[in-house]
Amino acid sequence: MSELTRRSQALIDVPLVPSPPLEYLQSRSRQRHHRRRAITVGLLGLCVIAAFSIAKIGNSTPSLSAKSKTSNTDVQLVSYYKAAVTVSNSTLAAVGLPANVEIPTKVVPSLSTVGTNGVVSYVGAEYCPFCAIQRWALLVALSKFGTFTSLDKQVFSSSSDVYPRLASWSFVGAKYSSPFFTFQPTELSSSTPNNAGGYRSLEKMSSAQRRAFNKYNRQGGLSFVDIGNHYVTLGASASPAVLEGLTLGNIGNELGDPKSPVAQAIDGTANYLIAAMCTMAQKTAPSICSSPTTREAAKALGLGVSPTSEISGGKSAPTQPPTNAPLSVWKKWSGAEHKYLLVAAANFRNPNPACTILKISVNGTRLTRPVLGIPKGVTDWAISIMGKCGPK
Amino acid sequence: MTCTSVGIVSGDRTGFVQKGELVFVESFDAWYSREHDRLIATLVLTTGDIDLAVEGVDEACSRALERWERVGAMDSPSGWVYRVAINHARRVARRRTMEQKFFQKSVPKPDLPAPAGELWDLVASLTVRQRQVVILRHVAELKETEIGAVLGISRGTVSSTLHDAHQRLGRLLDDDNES
Repeated sequence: MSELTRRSQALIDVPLVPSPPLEYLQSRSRQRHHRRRAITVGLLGLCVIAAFSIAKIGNSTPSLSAKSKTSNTDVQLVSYYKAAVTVSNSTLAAVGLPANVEIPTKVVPSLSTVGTNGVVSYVGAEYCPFCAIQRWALLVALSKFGTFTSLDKQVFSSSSDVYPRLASWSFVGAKYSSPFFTFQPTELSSSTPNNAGGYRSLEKMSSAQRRAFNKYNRQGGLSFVDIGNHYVTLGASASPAVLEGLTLGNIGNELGDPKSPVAQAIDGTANYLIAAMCTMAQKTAPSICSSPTTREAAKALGLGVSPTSEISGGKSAPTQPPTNAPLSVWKKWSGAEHKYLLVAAANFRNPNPACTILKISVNGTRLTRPVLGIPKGVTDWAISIMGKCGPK
Repeated sequence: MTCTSVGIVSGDRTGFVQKGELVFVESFDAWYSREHDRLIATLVLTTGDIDLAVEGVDEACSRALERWERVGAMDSPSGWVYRVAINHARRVARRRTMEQKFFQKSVPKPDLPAPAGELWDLVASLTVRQRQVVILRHVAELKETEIGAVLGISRGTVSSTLHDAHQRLGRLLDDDNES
């Protein structure tokens, strides 16, 4: 076949195309790496979306929180509701941080309670007098970050409990939207007694709420407010006694008067709640987050820095060693990666308010062959997230 | 494979320590400037498409450059590059076919310029396997064992395929000369 070799030699002597420079080959390498990274990220995103979609299809049980509709709408409530949501920043600043208001407790987030990351969760009951005052404070605070609708069911706390018949409303059927976080209220019982000597059941906690409730509130008291799995309040932050004998109208009027005991209790509690909620408003936090009172409250909360900033700024992912590094270096890296992912998983924030995280775990795989530059024998770690999405 | 550059340079070759032994590897520049045109000629005659050949060769060379310490120390760096280039060209061709089917458009393959066109006419009648083996043997000038490694077949298969291809090409060349 020397004939074929001879003829093809002409192709080599007079090349069909010029050789591209080495810089071109290097730029191709870079492009290939970028493409691979983009594909990997895209696939991961698709997996997350698919997981949520599958969970959504599989979950046909509607959420209980939005089901109940009020029957005894009180016309008055609208104006008091407005009074609470329009408490001005200057009023809040004038109220400041009264000494008789309990500061929310900072908790250490764990994997078991990660479902309430990015969620302000309230668990209470309509009969509960402590919940009555805590709802007011929550309403003032939450209104600085979003908007309530369908908040129209007036209730009174139990007449046979301490602080009887406090005027408040129920979160049943309430809807709240905020660009910063999700609000998940659960009223466990109504204020209507049942035959068993208790109160008629209303709503059930979500699994994420239950895990946080059991972990942070071992005595099981009401109300329980969990702010993003970082701060909790148990019971009432201020004495419900300030509401005794007052109508909704009285309470609404007094919220705007910084010197009134009602404003001191409710607005003072709201100041701490706002400071805790500001830690969840990562990017474009509302102006109140930079007010002196909120900063002061944040100091009192023992914050210093936003706990959510730990994800991006506090600890970074360990740098992967070169492929030819000794196995001992790779094992050290694997351990560091595991610790990093545990922190990242504990701080994971649900990206989709319509979905609930059911389980989050950090799993390791001992590689039996080299993968993405990681040699065999090294344990590679990954975060696994399971969730479900309720009907909109 | 553990590779550590020790910075020993001898002419066009650089020394690396591999598995505790000092191995001299030809520099990528030297290998690239010597082999590029042969790679292009081989791929053009294997695929019958200049664009596909250039794409395959560029991709394979860029990957070889990225891991030259390892590829350069192989028994046949060119064999490795041919294998990557052929596989990549095959993937690109498959993708193009799918795109054409999807968009329902037919793009005619441009004719190869002389003398590549004449050579392509000669080898186009061979089966794909025969063509690859013949081109890798006589244009790329690889040994039969290297061809086997490139195509993932045994040396015996390479030999018999080469034999059949030679017989067929011999007949074609005879016809050529007679006409």
